[in-house]
Amino acid sequence: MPSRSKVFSLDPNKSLIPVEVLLEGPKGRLLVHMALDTGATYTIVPVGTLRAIGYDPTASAARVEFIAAGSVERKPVITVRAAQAFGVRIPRLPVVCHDLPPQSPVRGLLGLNFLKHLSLHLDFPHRLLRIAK
Amino acid sequence: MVSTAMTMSRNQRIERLRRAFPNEWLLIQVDRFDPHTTTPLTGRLLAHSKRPEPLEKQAARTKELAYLVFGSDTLPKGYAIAF
Repeated sequence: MPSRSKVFSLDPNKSLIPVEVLLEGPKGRLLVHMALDTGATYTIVPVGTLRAIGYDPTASAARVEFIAAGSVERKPVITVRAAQAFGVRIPRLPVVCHDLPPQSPVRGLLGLNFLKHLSLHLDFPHRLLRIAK
Repeated sequence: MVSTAMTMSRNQRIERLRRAFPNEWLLIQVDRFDPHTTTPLTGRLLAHSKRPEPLEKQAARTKELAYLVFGSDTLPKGYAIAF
């Protein structure tokens, strides 16, 4: 493990792995409670959150075929000015615009296109999440 | 329905604010923030709502750093997640 690693608490009893994500856009920043998702190709951000920081997902020409549980849908892709999580800022991150179901306690998913920039170690027995860049 | 917070001037720890509204979305103006971990530490509750969308509209009008979070990470009883 690199010496510059950071350690976070990890609760194996939670239904998901929560993570705070700071999204930056042309009209401002918004810190959003998301879930870490190693099964998501892209980081997923809802329409309302993208609008809050100055993007119009309906105007985006970029689209991706989005395979979700039980469906395949064509969704807009927006490249946000930057996304930051675990103290690591990734500029110009593409995100898929998709609303999670209303029962979800998180407002987005931090996916592989962000996580691939990190060394990520989920140590459930010791309840620790270690991050290094 | 959005409820505007009555305690605008009071800074509180984020976890305390979340515990006060375990079944609602909260929009919090962040007062102390740790950039090394991207963690909000303290803040002032701006509004709370059963739905996140109205809070996102309010966040667009907020000049300071705002934090959108549900009060609890616990799923409704009988639910599981597969995103």
